Amino acid sequence: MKDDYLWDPSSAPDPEVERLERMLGRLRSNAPAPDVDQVRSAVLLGPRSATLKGSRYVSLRFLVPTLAAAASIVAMIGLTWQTTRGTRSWEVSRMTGQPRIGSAPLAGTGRLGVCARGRPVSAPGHAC
Amino acid sequence: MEHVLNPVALHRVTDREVSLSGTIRAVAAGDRDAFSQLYADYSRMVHAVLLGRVPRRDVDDLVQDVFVTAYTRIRELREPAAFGGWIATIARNRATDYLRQSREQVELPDELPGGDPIEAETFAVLDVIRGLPEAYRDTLLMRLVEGMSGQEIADRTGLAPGSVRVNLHRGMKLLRDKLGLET
Repeated sequence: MKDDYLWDPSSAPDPEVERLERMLGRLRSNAPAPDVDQVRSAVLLGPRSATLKGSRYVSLRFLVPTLAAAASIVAMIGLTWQTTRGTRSWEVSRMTGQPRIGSAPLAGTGRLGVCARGRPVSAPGHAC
Repeated sequence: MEHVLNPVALHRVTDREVSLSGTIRAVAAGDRDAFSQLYADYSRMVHAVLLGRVPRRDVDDLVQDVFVTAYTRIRELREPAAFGGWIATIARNRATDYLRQSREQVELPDELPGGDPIEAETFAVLDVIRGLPEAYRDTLLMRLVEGMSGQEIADRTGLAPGSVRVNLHRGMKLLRDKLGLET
């Protein structure tokens, strides 16, 4: 093996290395340098935009979990609001006699407001 | 009393290092021509480092990314002479990020029907080189793909010329063995 050619391409060529060079040399790139002005504007927009490729992928990768977390928070707020707003009530119906709540007589059926611990309010329209 | 020679103390600042230091200062100051000069000097090395790790179709874009990153962080570079090793590290980290991000994506082969005029044999040899240990892989790609000389590889990477020579020799021997070539 002629290592001189491997070290110094201007010396007497090694045919095998030369063949590999010709073959692999096709993978060489002639891409131009990035535009400095474009780089500067990317820097001004922030470090994430300074990487020209990949930021779109990163944002998409986090989009679904972010939306799922936001939807969960909205659902929890809605559920809490739904269960805590106003006073709860029981649906009641008269079976016999003339039941009254405070001074108000209860007609055939109606709704009886209850407090948080399940006790009926003293009268319709009264607070717990 | 026995004296031990300190290689750092004996290190002489070369003309190349003085020139590189000036170029880097100019890039940090926003000099467009200096940036083009750095790109011309180091893009082949960065290309080789990336080609050894990621699919070829994305290498050019990643080379651009690496130089953008280097441009934005060049003020962090304390020792201008270490630029080659520094940008090679950026390239290796960028390749690692790329591979981590694309792990869940379907991997396309380097060779796509009708897309690339490069022969299958070329990609087969590239795959063999990619399977070599990192030091041999990078050095061989700089030599065989980018056409850099041993001295040029040493200058750009910051490796000692002796180390580059050893990497080339051992890497080439491994490559010949794996390709079934006679030595």
